[in-house]
Amino acid sequence: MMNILETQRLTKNFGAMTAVHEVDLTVQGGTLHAIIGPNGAGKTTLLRLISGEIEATSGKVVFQGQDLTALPAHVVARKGIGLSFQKTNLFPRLTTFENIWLAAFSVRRSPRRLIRRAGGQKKVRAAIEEVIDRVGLSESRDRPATELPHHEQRLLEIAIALALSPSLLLLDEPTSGMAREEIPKMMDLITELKKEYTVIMIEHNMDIVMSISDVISVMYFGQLIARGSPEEIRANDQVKQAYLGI
Amino acid sequence: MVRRHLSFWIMVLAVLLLPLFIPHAVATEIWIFALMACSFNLLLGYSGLLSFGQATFMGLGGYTAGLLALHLGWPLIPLLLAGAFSAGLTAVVLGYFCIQRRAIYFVMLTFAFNVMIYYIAYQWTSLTGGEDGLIGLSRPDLTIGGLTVLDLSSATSYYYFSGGIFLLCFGLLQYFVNTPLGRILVGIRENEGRMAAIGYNVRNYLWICFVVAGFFSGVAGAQYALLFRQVPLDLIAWMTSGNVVFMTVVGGIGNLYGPVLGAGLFIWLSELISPIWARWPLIFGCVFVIVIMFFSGGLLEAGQKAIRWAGNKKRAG
Repeated sequence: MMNILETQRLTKNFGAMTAVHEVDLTVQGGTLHAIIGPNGAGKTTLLRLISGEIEATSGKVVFQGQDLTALPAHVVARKGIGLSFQKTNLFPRLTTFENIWLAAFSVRRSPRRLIRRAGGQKKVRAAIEEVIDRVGLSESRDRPATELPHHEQRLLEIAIALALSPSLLLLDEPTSGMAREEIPKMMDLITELKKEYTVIMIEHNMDIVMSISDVISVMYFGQLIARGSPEEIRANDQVKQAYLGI
Repeated sequence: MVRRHLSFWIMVLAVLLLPLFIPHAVATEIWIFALMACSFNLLLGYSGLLSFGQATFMGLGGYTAGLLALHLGWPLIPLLLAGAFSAGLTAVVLGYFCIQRRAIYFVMLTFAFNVMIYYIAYQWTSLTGGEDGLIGLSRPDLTIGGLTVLDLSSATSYYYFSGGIFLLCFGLLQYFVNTPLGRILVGIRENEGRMAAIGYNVRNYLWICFVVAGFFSGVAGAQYALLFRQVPLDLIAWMTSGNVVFMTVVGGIGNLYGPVLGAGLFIWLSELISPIWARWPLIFGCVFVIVIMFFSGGLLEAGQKAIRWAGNKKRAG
């Protein structure tokens, strides 16, 4: 399988602090690649570098053979990278449907479609229905995002990224803040998504990480210190010391 | 069909009925400022950008139409279009700079450009008439191929003409806010960062909005010049920009009907009460404070609440 994403010596400094230090991450198409590590290890910064939210200090991001390093987020999104945020980042006063519409329309727009009435655009609607179905938000489709319960907001967060029909899905702590009893639902969803999408996921919940990841990379103080299958990571002494604390 | 466009037909009715209660010239001014407030609300209500310099574009539309009428004797429709395009093209340039910044910095940029252009109009006496404004225009009739279709010399006929232009522009703006483009602007207002993350070049969309707003403000300015057959310097002054903010916020920024309501109230008070009581802005000031304190959706929301309240009371009784 080809590498869909490669970062080469990717580095981000915030002033004197190095958040991400010469990270070489390779992600194969069709896999679920988890990134774990203690808080402050630079995981979210790494995702934001890949998605173009922030600009790298040095190094490169190569996606499907294309250099994305200096491109702004809105261009990266249209190249096929969808990011779901750790801190829920929705359009609070818009409904579930409208939230997803914005993303679905974004990748299906043309100058002509921009100025035709928003209602009757079949392809966009079809894409929205599919996403709503898949994440299970059909009951809440007409409710404003701000009124949804937390776990539905997390699902909507992912739905927005999915509506971009991305080739690479970035999930930043999908279960963040979720109640224990809601987590299995999210896990089922990610297991489903894994069949269709290449996924990079940051997650603290070890049950999820160990059971559904194909590859795990471990970050520690801005660097990748290990990479391997769940079994290999579990057995890795360095990881145990740095992170699992065993 | 009628039902879907119900609120538009209410607007048509308002244009037809307003002169029964108010003199034609005042009623005309109401629709001119209603259009101005609507175009301004594309920025404030839909995109979340407070322009404190919208008079720049109204003034430019007014001066352009005024100068072309005065010196070149252009016909009516080309005058309106010239006013619109001069304002729109200026908005292309000024908008490029303004939309680089947000919040108070955006406000100050629009304000600064307004002040700059005001002083150009003030100083360039040979072109603009300076402090006296541009005076002595004649209002051309509506002609098609040299034939007079509508004699606009009376206040009444000009009222119906400008009422028609208002309805046309209002319909276009209403269409605009319902297109995907309009919804994208609302998305930007709600969460600019996420809009970038899902692939929208936020600045370009805000730029488009700025230009569309400038264009329609230009139409309003050109109509104003033809209404009073002059372009007062005040039309391009920041006081006018402030008034537009005022009337829009009082009316309600959630849709395009609020600005119409606010503009109507503002112009009505200023034209009918000011001769009797020069301190009339006091009333408007009080209304403004009450609206801001209790009804963030403006008078429109206050009205809707009152109707619902009355309905509930009736049912309860």
